[in-house]
Amino acid sequence: MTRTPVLEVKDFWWKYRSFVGVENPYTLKGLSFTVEKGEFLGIIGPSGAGKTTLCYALTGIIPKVFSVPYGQENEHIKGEIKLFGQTLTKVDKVKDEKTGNMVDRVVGMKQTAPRVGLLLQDPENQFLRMDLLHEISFGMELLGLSEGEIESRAKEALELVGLGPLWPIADLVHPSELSGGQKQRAAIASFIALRPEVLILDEPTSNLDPEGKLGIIQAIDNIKKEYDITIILVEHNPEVIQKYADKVLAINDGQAIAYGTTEQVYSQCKLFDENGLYSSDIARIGWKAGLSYNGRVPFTVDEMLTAFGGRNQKSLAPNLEDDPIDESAQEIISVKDLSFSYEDGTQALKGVTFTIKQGEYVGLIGQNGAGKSTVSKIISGLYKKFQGEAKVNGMDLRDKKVIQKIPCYVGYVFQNPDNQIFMRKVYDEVAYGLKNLKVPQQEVDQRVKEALKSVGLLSKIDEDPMFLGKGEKRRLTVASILAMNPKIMIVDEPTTGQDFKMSEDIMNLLEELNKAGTTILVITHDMTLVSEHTKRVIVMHNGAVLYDGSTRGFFSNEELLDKADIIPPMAARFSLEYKKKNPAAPNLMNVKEWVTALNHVEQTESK
Amino acid sequence: MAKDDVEARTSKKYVRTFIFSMKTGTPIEKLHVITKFFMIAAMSVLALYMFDISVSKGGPDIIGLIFLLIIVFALLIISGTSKYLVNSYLLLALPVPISEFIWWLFFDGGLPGAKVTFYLWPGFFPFGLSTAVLVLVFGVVYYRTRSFIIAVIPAVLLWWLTAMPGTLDFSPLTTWFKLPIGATSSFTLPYLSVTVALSKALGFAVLIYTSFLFLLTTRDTEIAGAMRQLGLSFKKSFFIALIFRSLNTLLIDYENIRMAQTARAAGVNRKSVFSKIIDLAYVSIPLVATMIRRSTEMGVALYARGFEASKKVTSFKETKGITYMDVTVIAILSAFLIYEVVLGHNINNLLIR
Repeated sequence: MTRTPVLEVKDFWWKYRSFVGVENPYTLKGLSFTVEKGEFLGIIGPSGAGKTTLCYALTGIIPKVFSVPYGQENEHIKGEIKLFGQTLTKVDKVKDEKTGNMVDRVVGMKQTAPRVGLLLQDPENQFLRMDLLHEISFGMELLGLSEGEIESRAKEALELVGLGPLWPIADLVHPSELSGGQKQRAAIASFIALRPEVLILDEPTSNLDPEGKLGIIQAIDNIKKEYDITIILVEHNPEVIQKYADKVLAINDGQAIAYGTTEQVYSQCKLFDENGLYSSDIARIGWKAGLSYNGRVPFTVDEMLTAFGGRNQKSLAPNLEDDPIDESAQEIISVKDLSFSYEDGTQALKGVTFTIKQGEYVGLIGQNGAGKSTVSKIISGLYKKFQGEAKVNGMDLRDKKVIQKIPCYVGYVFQNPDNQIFMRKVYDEVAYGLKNLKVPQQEVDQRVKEALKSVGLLSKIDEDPMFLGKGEKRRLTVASILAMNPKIMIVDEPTTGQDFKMSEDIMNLLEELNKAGTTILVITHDMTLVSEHTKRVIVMHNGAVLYDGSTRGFFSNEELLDKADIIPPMAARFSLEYKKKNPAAPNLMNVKEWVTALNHVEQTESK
Repeated sequence: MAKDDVEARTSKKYVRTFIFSMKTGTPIEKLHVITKFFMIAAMSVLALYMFDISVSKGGPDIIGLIFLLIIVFALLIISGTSKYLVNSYLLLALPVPISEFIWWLFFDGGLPGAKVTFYLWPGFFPFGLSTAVLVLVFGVVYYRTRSFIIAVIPAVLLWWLTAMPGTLDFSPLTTWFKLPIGATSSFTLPYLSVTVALSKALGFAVLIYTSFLFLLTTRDTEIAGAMRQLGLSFKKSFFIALIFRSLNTLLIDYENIRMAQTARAAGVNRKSVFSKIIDLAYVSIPLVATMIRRSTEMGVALYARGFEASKKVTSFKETKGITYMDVTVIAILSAFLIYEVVLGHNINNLLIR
């Protein structure tokens, strides 16, 4: 069945205007693709590939909001984008009103709203009003709809995104009272209420836990089915794209590197590997172990079980034993019956108790709002008014003098690198903490260079951090803490908004630091990384510790996973399913373990 | 409204305001923001008028000011804002009326009126062994405890004991010299200075706490709605509301940045005021970068909702109606204003005479 093209992108090039004298390179380079009505297009690519810029171009924000210098249109825009059969953006000859000469000017539709909606990554920046009701109704007010129509659409939109229970109090709900997931749902609802024909979503779930992420994507899919909306989704998570998208466009450095159905694109494992793209655990296991399903790598657990069917299951793997925890190691973090309430009365922690020994690498996981960041900030001395006991390196954090000295022992790397870069030179940035500690200048020089070397940024020592790439900024923030030689390093969501390669790099760096003796506590929603890098997890749920033990133990316990509302990584899910038929099989958690196990099968079979 | 909706609405106990939050369903929450604004303006005018000291209008109206202050505190209590928060703001603002009181008491003594005498003892400050004790005890205890209060109490106590008549400092051997603190052993204050100082302190307290009352009990959405009721265009009132929204995100960013600075040992060692100012200046680098990113994205979000193309804008539950309670409050305050300001009466004089 031929469907009407909604968007047609023809050899489109775009270059941002420069404000610093040096010309910018093209961000989009000759992109061509078509999106049909009712289609679900997934856009994937590493950080800095041009995904957000493409979203802006598809909504007309480029070049309407990010304009080009007058008279230089041809140098910034090439090609054409058509929306609903009409030109959205193109440089064409038009008659100059003053001179009467034919000149090059940007032509096309002036406004794409409400037919096209755009949802951005950070819900905080899209929440324009001071209460939920007016946030949802804002676009409709601008359209001049009747009050009755606005009310019925707003109510319906809230119900569709799962915020229906908030309708009676929507006018009393302030943005700060909503969680990140609720804000993102509200942003979706505000567009749904406008009844768009195309909804473009730029990494809408990157800050959410896996359950929350799936909830949002499911809500989007429900809306798509209900109103036959065309969806364009930028997303790193391969599971989401594989489950919901009809087609996938993979871009890198502004160019299309793959375009086709999800099967066609995700089968190109080598391409994914070379371009630092996320492919699913299952696809990676299948690729590395040479397994095939219908002539391609398997994508889902079921497909993997089928592809795996003929293997010699008895000799799957040697028993995998985790390294035992060194019981003789010194207890470096100890919290006992820890409770904490925010000023608005929200009780974030309810009697949290755990200990961490020196040299451990622990994952702190749980849903948004479970209390992970709160407990970490207490350990880092950033939150002071808590009940219960908290000790770091044997020092009691209830003592004000101890709290003051905590940054000497605990380094906290925050989620957003932009919020923690204070200086205009990479050297000064890393030296900032050391100068606060009154370290002698000679030692500052040495420690700055060592820290920058270990994160691979020594060559950028004299550069302005503001102009570093996203991954480099993240590494710089790690170096800034690293230089202070903390015994404990707490890293909050190190991989949010980063591509596969960047995430791997940062997790490997943390692993190296851990091997060198630093105790690492990593807070993350990325269960694949947890399964690959941590031996122990502390699982938090509703402000309390639900589980504290081996990562393997957690990911192999379905009951606990359900209680914690955590979706295990695909490799662990495959293990769980596999064990249902083969109870003697080991609990394999990640791609590396599965590949090792499968290679063992190969070797056993060849003998 | 459906029964479930009513239940859900009553279950929402608090609503966010400019500063913190207040209880829903209180008389203050039900008032229109214009009424609240009129109330603040009227009480401020009354306070300014009541602490006016010109004799022609009968002098300051202390009882009137006390009455106003009681009203403000009563309103703060019934507004349902957090007691802790109200107390904190009360304490924070307290130095202003106190310093006003001290200023007017000591530095505006040339006013006519009955005089009262304050006796000061001993009329000189002895510098000698007692002073040495004071400095030494304070220094040692402060060095050990780093607490000003803990150090100053034993130091003053021991100084007082050693400076007592007949004790060490009054012996010619132990008193090195005496610094006279007045020409006489007592000095006098004009009666009117006390009255004036009290009225000024009360007046400023009324001004400050009524402002708090407004900020603690007003929602930013109410302001945008009221501006539209007063005839401001949707886009203009929206942009004012957007400033409030931006301030909200700015505060969140500021808090995060300051925490990041603390994590980088900004508070480990004692710093001079100058270094602290420099640290605050460093906050501006990430703050400005974040603000630029946020404002760009807000611009994108506005475009995506069709802000530029909008012509006829609907007003959907943006405004609040004026109720009988609003009219009553405005009427009572107007009557009070007429009584004090237009007719020139004075509650103080009325009751005392």
